[in-house]
Amino acid sequence: MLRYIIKRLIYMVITLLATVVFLFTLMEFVPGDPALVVLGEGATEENIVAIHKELKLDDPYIVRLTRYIGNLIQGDMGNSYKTRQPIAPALFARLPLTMTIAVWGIIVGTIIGLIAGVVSAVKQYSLFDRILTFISLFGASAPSFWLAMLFVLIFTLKLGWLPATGSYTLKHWILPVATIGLQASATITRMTRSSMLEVIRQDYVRTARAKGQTQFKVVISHGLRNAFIPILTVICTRINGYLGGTVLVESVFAIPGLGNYVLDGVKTMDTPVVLSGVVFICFMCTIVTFLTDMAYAFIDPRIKSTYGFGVKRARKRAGLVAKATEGGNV
Amino acid sequence: MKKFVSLSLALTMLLSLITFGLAGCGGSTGTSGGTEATAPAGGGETQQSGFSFDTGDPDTLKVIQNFDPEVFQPGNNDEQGYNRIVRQIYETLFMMTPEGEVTPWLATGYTWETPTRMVITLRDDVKFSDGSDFTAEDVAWTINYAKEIALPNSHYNVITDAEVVDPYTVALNLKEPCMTLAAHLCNSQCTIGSKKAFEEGKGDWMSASVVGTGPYKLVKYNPGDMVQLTANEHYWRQGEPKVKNIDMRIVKSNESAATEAKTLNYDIVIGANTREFAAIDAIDGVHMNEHMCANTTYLLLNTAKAPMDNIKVREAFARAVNVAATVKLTYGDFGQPASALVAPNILGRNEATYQKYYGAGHDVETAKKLLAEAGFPNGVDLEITVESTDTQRCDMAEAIQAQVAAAGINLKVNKMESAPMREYLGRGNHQICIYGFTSLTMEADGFLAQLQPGSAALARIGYDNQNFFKKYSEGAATEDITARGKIWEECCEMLMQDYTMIPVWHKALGAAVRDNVEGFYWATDYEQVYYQFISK
Repeated sequence: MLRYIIKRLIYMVITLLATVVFLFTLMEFVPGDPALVVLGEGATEENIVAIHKELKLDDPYIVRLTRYIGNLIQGDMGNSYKTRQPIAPALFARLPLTMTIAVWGIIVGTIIGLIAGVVSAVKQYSLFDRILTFISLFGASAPSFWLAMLFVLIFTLKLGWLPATGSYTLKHWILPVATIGLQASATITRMTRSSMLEVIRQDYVRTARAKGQTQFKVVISHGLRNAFIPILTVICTRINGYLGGTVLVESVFAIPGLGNYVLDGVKTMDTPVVLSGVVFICFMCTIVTFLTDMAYAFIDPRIKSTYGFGVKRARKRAGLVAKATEGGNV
Repeated sequence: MKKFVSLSLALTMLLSLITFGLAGCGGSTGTSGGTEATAPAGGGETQQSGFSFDTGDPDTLKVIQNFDPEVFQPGNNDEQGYNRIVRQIYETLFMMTPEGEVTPWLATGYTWETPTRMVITLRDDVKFSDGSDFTAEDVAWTINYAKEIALPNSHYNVITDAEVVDPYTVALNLKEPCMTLAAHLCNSQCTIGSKKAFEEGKGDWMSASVVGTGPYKLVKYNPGDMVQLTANEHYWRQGEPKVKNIDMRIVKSNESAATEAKTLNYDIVIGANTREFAAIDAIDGVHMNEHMCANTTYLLLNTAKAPMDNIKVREAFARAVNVAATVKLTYGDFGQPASALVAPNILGRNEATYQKYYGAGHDVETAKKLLAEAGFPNGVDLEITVESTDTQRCDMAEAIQAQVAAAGINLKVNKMESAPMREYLGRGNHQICIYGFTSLTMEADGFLAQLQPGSAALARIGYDNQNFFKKYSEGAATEDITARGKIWEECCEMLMQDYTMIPVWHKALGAAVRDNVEGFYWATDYEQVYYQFISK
């Protein structure tokens, strides 16, 4: 298992490093002079030269890249061109909000998606299955900002039950989480259904039934567990997507998340904000991917056996069986 | 089975813990990592409470703003939205009255020792929010520091340096005469910070160095989310601010701001979608406060870029555009279709001159004729650049695209993000663009000053008329306001005569204000709101 973790950690570092180099290089091609961003409308030639000197913008590419990576390793993400303040505190201030939307959205989406997907697969072609298929198609195809505005219209302006914007109390979170949750549940429902349909036709499920196990145990223990790998992949992909991609939902509900911060950086050509913001989101994504890889190892016996997790126990068990068989036929 | 369920539960709990753990870090209810202003030495207690939801609280004004300041440094940003927040903490030497007159504020007056040396006397009863005295040292430091680190403040461009004459007198040395400098210094970009707080706080413009003479002081800032202010107990004006606390929410989406205005959860909402104004106004308990400001939206014609370098093409374009229909379509009855080069009540405005050049209005046949004379009998391809996030200007560009097609002008709409667009225009790569200028000194000078050699704004019209520059300098050096007004009129006429720009819309400002709120008004010069005069 340790070998597996180390291998994943090495992949994580390589991915991050490649991302930093790629993004830094990409930002080199973005047209525009950062000095103009700093100085605004009243920029003069004299001031532009001074800003170039201050920000060391005239240094060669490789020098700036090395300096950026060096600073990043020390936790320094640089300063915003626009505000001239450190970027890291601004990112960390926004992280909990994005995490709240992403995590709770995915929890809600997973709960709904798993239940609906399993029931839909078990009751294939029933009325329930068809209704769920329709709802999940609607959820997957409806744009998030439209769903968000629809919720605001109904639950804020018409019914007056929930606040329209903000992130201060549990009530404030209901609509943003419901928007993300509904969207996530659609994909998870589809994936759970198709994955379960594949699994419940397998021989081992039939064997379990033949052994007289309850329907619940057959479906959950033998069916869902084996169908869970692709579902987990979808969940992981969704979380990664939501870490930086809930911009529209954040805008409608006025939640200052990571996505909006980076988007503002793009609009104002604040290169360090864009660069560090995207690197930070990538870092979060690699952590989520790493955790997912760990979860695979617990769920998928093939990964366990490949990396020796639980091998000792298997060998011990094999030894006992061999001893038992020494005395006669099995 | 057990393992699977345990793993799922464990993962869920772990994620929940991470989320709530992070959310709890900042000690606020929802947003963490925010800045709590440090209690100023000798100052009062800092407010620790979260965001208030009680609109009935007479001690707290609940406001929605559409700008995230990100930092609280005097003059850090030239956006009106930024200064609308930061101006509550820091103040200017002079202030513009609602009638557009310059009145001393932190200053008591000024004299011109020479045409390039302004001597300003300061009030001796002003204290910063940390209890320290406001002196000439702070004024000189603020201006010199802004110039040293090249803050984006064009009002200081004419100033060479500031020097302390005595503790309550400061002198500003200028590169060239600028008789409207006092009006420039009214601008909320020209607020004064505390030198002592800067040095002691090591330039921490999020907390420790945020010390001003303004009616309010910073209590808490959650990036992108909210700003909490409370009354400065050392404030020099008796009886102000009238409301002790301000809770400002930052809502950038104008649709969401309009929704909040309709919920009646806020006392003042700035930044609501103009298309929702009528709907908001129809709701009991809230009304729209609308006011004309000093800003005009223009179609800027780049005289240095072919084929716009041909005056006949520019004039043809002016004839092909239907200004009144464009404004009606884009803004409805909000604001006014342009009737002069600068907005109403601005010194240097002359409607007769406007009529002379643009009075003929929308005339497709003349436009076609002019194009033919310019060598384009079969029409011409042009491009208009507009900021993609400004939906109303995008609508305006599309309306104009349809109008000019009748005259044989094939207009391509080029939508760009704000910053890349600024650079694109600054380099003079465009043919036509939509842009607004504010006459923030309440004289045409506030707008003409931006069109001087070396400026990014001048590149937008590619204008190189030496007579225009000389005339402007003459106006800037003229002390007599009547004579100066005449010169500004002449400068405006030059711009119109050469068809460098087509004024389209005189901008209005709007805010949704609860009926129980009194004292709210829009300061015309730089779209400013002074919360210290507001009561509820």
